[in-house]
Amino acid sequence: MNVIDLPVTLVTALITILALLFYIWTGISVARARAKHGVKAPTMTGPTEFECAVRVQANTLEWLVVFVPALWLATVYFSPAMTILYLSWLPPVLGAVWVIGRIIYKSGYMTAPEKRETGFVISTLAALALIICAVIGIFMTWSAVNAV
Amino acid sequence: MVSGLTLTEAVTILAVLMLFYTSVPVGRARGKHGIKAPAMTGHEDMDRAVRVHMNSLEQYALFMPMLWVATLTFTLVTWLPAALGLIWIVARFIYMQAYLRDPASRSVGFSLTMLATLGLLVLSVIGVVMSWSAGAA
Repeated sequence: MNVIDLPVTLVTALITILALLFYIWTGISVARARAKHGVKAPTMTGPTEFECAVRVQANTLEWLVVFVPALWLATVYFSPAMTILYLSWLPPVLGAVWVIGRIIYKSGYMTAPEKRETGFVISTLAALALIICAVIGIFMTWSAVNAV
Repeated sequence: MVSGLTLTEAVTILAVLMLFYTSVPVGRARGKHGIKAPAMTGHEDMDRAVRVHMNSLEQYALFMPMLWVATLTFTLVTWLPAALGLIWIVARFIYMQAYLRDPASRSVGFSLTMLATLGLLVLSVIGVVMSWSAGAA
């Protein structure tokens, strides 16, 4: 069976869609704050509510660049290499944790900038864990290829 | 017949070139108005160019994963994801030209961009559900 048709890969595809929907939501928040406070493009500064929305969107973009490749590398290399069934589901589970962490980060940041830490730590740990999974998966796949 | 995968690969290269192209006006505005790095403001031309570049990057981050998930899972009409990708590239070009001329006229290109991305999102969801059903059957 092709790796793209494995159930775990399809769940990762769904998590990717959820992560991108969340990112669209951060953009909608910026557009709404723009309209609410009359901040016209290309201006990127204004009332705190607008600047918080801008920072949430920008920071999510910065982390999306780390998260999406890490999620997919972990799914492609780590999941098929795991013989313990439950462990193979770790990449999409970590992906879901990342999305939840980002939602907490957004609501915290929009309440008060100093309340952004909890969500930030959750999503950052999930992203780092995915990178570790990817490294382990690539190493295990490499070993398996060379053992044959 | 060229496969959907090959078409998407070609569209990916074009989209990367398009994203790169959106950075050209930033460099041009820097030179024209003497705005030295790391300054990101200084003239209306610069502000517009920076916003076009940033918005294109933001949209690219949405577009690229959806293009590939749709291509790999949606197999009913294999060329459709690449076709939507092509629309996305054209939309980005329209957005860029309009924004640099007048920020208020950016909505047509932006809406077309979002339409292409949402189309790919729908194909991705359908593709994942269909692949899942096929696997379970």
